[in-house]
Amino acid sequence: MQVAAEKLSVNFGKKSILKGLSFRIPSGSFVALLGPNGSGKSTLLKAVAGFINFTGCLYVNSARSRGLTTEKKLFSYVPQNLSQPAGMTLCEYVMLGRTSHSNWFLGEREKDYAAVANALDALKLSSSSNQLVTTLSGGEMQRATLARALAQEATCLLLDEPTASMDFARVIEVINILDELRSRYKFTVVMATHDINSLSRYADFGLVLKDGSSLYSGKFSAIMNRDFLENLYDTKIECVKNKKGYPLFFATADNL
Amino acid sequence: MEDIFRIPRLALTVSFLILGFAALASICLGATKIPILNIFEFMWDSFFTSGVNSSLSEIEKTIIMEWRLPRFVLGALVGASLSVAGSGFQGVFRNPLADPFLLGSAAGAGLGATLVIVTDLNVSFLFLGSVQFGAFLGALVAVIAAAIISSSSGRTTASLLLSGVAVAAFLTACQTYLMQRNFVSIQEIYGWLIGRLLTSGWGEVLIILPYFVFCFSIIFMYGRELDLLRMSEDESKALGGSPLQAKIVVISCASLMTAVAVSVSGLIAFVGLVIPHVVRLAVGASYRIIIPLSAIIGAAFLSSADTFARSAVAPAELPIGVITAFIGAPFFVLILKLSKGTI
Repeated sequence: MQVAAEKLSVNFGKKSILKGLSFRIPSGSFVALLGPNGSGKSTLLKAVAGFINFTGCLYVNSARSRGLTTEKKLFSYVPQNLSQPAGMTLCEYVMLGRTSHSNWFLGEREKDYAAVANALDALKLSSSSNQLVTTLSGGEMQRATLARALAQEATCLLLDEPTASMDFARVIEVINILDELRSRYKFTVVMATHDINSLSRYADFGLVLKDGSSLYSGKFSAIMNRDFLENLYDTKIECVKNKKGYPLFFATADNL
Repeated sequence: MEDIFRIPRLALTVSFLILGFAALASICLGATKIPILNIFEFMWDSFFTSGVNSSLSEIEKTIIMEWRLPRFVLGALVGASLSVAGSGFQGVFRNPLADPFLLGSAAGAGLGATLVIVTDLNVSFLFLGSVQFGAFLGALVAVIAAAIISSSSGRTTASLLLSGVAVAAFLTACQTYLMQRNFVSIQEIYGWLIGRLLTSGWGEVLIILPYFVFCFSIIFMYGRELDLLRMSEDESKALGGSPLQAKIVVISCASLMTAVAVSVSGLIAFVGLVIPHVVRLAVGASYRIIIPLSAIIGAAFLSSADTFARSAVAPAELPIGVITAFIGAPFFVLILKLSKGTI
């Protein structure tokens, strides 16, 4: 799914949250949506999803759009705090992804159950299908949301800091799975995050916001340099390279 | 993979068995006790020989057909209405404390009934007496007022909830003032407030039945939307749900069926709160299962409570609202203990 915007703005009352953003995200990209706290990342995701009103133009697959929800596009939205409804099994949770496919009166059919079984299998969750979602770990829960997106046959994933509360190992595990699924199913991933180091191997497109304005949109590799990040976060940053040559950045706080 | 949203057969069978026992108890017990075998015989004869061979007297037949059976059906419909409305409110507000009276319908019904009693108004409509019609109108007006106030202050779930609280507080104050100014009517008002099934043959049943069938069908159809609402609203929209539409439809239907139920029963506490939780603990948390089973179990619970209310101190009657709370409260404590924090 290709997503583009021209002069996209969002205002809450008199406060301007997004100020005339323009960008063009190629289909099948892994987009890192970066920016300091309060820069408008979550608001942009919600505007693209169609959860909030905006001015300006949004284009989905080159057609003018009021947001993915209003066009009934198959997309998945993962908020910062995942819902883990009490008493809901993993299978029921993933089956929610079939809502737009199944019949309102007749309910789910064989193909819906097959889609859920395949999604659970792809995320290695088949053995936990009868487990309550409240008993899943953070990593398993993220995999469950990805399974739900697969069952939904989503062509675009909007993720709002999905790895914020996860440990090192789970972060890499989830991003790795996400990238594998993206390659296999050709969907577009837009991920709001502060964790640029973890994304350095995977993201191919960068969309950078500062104070509600677009600072950069284009190849992700172009923003992986110290000067750009120091300007973005207004702090001193150090850069080292790992054995494979990927840069890793650390805020030094020397300027504080 | 088996159908995960089908109502478990065992649960369905047990629920209908409980309802069947409640029906038998309701027909057998009361000021005049009718032996259970005679009732089976009467039913057999009614179906196959037009009742000519039945050993029941004409008076007993009249008691069954014109008094106890309609009363059982009315109790079952009120219990089912309150339980389904309670499930709907708990789903929409994602709050385990939600009950059918959350948006002020109890206070509205109370004020409506009080107003009719103290002013001696004659506003009967179809089979509904003046007090019942006053309660029905009061409940509807209260919920509509809460919805209007909420729509002018943000249209969020929290604003609707708080508007309901404000409307209930205001209407209760009005009702208290009226009661305080009309000492002579206090006993009658109080008798209505604590709940009592009022029957005069099948009239009330015919009033409540179409509302119940309509509202239950709609809320049942929205079961999958209520399941989606267990996510955040944004997730629900992304999954293809229409949370705003679901909330409006479910709240409207739940409020309508509550208003009709309280008009014939007064304010019966606890049923709408407890029954959905009992069902949830027994068979899982999907509203596609909770809603139909709540209807059956709610029907059985309220009709049993009514049987107890009119047979414990027969020929006098205990207020049914006292029975439901008296049995319901300790039972709910037990459920809470068993739930180990899953509610």
